[in-house]
Amino acid sequence: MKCEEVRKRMLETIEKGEIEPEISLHLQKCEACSKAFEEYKDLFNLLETEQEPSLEKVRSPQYLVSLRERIDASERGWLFGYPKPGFVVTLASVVVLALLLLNLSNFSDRFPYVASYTSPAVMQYVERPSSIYLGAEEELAYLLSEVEVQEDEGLPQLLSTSETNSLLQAEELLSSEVSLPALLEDLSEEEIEMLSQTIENLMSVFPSKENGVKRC
Amino acid sequence: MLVERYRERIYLLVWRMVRNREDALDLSQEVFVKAYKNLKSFRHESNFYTWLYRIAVNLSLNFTKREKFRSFLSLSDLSDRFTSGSSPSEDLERDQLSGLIDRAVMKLPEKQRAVFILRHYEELSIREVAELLGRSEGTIKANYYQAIKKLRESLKPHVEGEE
Repeated sequence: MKCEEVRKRMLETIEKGEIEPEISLHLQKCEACSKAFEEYKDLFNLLETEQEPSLEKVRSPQYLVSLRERIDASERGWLFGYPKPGFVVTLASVVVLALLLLNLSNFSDRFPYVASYTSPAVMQYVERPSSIYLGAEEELAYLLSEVEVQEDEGLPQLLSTSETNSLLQAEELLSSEVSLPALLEDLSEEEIEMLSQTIENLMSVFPSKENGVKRC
Repeated sequence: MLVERYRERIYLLVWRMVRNREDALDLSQEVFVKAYKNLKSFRHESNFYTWLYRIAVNLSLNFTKREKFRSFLSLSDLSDRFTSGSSPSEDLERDQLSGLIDRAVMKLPEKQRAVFILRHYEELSIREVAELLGRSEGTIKANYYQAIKKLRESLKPHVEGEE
């Protein structure tokens, strides 16, 4: 049996708790597979030691009382039947953000209603001539490649740790299957404003074509 | 009746997804509210528990994404939430190693985390997880393998220390 096949069946083997003779034979001969097998086995043992939280609160009568109240509130329905306060602002911000990521220009002329909900600083970014700058996604990809290089070299220079974390989170958000409206639904106006500010700050550290981007 | 029957299992599933007791309590109730409101759409094609599971997983995933989003806004480290978000008594109750596992699990990308939890803790088969998440068995297998591999990396010092 080849290493590849053994690796494919390793987790299944550990879960079953029984090692098939041909896998056992391979593990005796192959040090690398044997080491990996032991590490996975240790990992599963370690996971077994995890303590679950107490179920006291979920078993209490108060849990059912509170649930009943929530169900009653949902039946009254204002929260579910109608847009939440601030929804329009949220929606406007989502649209602006989407466009910001697409780096479209002349935004406020084309969408004056939505633009009126957005901070002038963000609009300045949205409206800057796209020909001069890298696209937002391209800029993000470039910075992420910088982050990877820095991680490999262990010398974070271009970005601070918090900026690196933000970018990694941004990358995950951008690749998220959940739509931005779903993500933003519960954010307050203040948080939306903070988001605009954060994106603006991030964008300001992005190297642009104008300043000459050094590619790795 | 249904709530009494399933509340503990749903709470534990949600807690495994979000790793914060108070959030899990709140979300588990949201699962039942949503199930109650959508009971008419339950088509009996899957069993009731699978249907509840799907709601719980989706709500938990959306919740953690929102939290990441908030964390993104404040430029803070998301993993702080899953340590400082617990009450002091909860910290004492659960040992340090469990805390490390919490962090490692929360570092997994959403899809991989969901697959890992459903497969490892809930002991669903690959086929059941695929059905529940609406993905192919091949994808689920790959996600599960990737999740385990990442956990092994995250917990390596502790794994190597075990004998």
